[in-house]
Amino acid sequence: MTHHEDDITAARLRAAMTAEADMVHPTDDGLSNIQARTEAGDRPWWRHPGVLAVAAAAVLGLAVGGLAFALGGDDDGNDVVASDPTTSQATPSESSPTPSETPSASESPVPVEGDVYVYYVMDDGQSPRLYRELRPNPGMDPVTAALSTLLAEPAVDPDYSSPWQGTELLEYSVDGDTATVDLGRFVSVGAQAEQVAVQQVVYTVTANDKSVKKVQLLVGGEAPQSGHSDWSEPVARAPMVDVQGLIWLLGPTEGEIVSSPVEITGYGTAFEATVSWEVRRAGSDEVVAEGFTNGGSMGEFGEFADTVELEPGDYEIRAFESSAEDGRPLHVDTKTFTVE
Amino acid sequence: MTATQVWGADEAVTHLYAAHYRSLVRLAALLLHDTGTAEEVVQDAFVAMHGGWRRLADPDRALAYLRASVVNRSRSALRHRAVEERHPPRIAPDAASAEHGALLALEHAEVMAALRALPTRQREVLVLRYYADLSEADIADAIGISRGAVKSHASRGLTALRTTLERTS
Repeated sequence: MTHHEDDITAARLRAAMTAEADMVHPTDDGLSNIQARTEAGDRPWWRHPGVLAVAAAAVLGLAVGGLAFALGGDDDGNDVVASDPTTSQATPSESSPTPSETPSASESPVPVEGDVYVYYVMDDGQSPRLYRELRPNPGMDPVTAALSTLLAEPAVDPDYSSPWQGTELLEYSVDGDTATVDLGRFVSVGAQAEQVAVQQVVYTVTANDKSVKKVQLLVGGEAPQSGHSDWSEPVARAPMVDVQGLIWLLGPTEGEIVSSPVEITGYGTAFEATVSWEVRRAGSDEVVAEGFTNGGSMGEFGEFADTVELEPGDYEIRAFESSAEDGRPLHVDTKTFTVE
Repeated sequence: MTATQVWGADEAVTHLYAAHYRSLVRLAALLLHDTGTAEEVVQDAFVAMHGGWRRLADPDRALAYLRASVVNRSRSALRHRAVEERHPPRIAPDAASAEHGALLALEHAEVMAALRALPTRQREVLVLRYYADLSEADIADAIGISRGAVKSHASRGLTALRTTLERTS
């Protein structure tokens, strides 16, 4: 390849993109659309269209039943997720979704200096669950940095999202083991998604400040009004098995450039502990490598790791549990990455 | 731009909309090849910026935030579309106008098709560099990757593009 040839290609590309972009003429109502939505955000909750819809659904008896969450109590056992997965410990396995009795992890949950843990939501095909990203801290206290990211910034992994996007953080404070998060608005989503959205905040706060065990959510200084659940009391972490993504692919991270052999790492739980993985060439269905490894099982979460040799190129990796019934991939987490 | 430091969230939206809405929609349209979705994506980004204004409160960072948000949301929208359709990107429904001549239109369509066939990040880097004229550092910010990765995606993308174009021409 010569510079000259690249310059010619670049010039053709520039001309083609400019021509295509010139054909794009945004409509005139963009600003009013945006303003209608930002004003809606400032409205009291009872005038919010989403709440009206929820209220109407409730009146009509359409409200869906939520998951049964064990929200009360001081479930220390769930702290394991906040700690570095490498310190994961043997938990007495119990298939019941009650909090386990594991002692708190001894490692600090605060991630490497300058980074914070932020939880996002992805529907794994069966239910919305929490997935964690390590994000840079622009220099605030870790919880404020993590919450600011959660509320305002999209996840790096395009499969993850946050129902809180565009919400303002009014105030964050801690008193004893209870943190108070005062927000500009509440989510207006279904009952199950609302439980997960609240847990998204609770997991994010508690992952970045180990001393916090419960989170009181407020909206403009008052208890959130949801139409689904009562949020007037502080909320502790729900059991991991109820809300956390069952398989987290932690490495490679989304968009990462790595060298071969590539280390695959993750954290999760699967039937008989078997976590499967597949690597495809980006944008194709061609599986170039696959394998399986052991994670946790029976609702107990554990790390998994494997390595794969790959030629330079762009890839997508997916980690999943193979359905015991028909081999279908369940609880899939995917990342795209590049091998140099 | 010191006067802008006193912008409230609403003013920020108005000013940044006036200055950047059209170019952001065009950027998203190039990434998505779909003007309607491009507008939705950019409006979502403005709404998110409004919500986070208190912490942003700086027009330069706001533009960087909007750009990153648009790139991210476009990728997400594309991913959903791909999942729905399970097919590679569509062919342009709006063929280039013939006023500059059919040959030129054909050339542009060919280049755009080759661009759309590239892996996501290579395509994003090429659009940000050769359409938006961003620096390596700004591209790195917008996509959330390192500058080294920007360089590598750009050169791989350009090479792949050239190879495809040589094959088809």
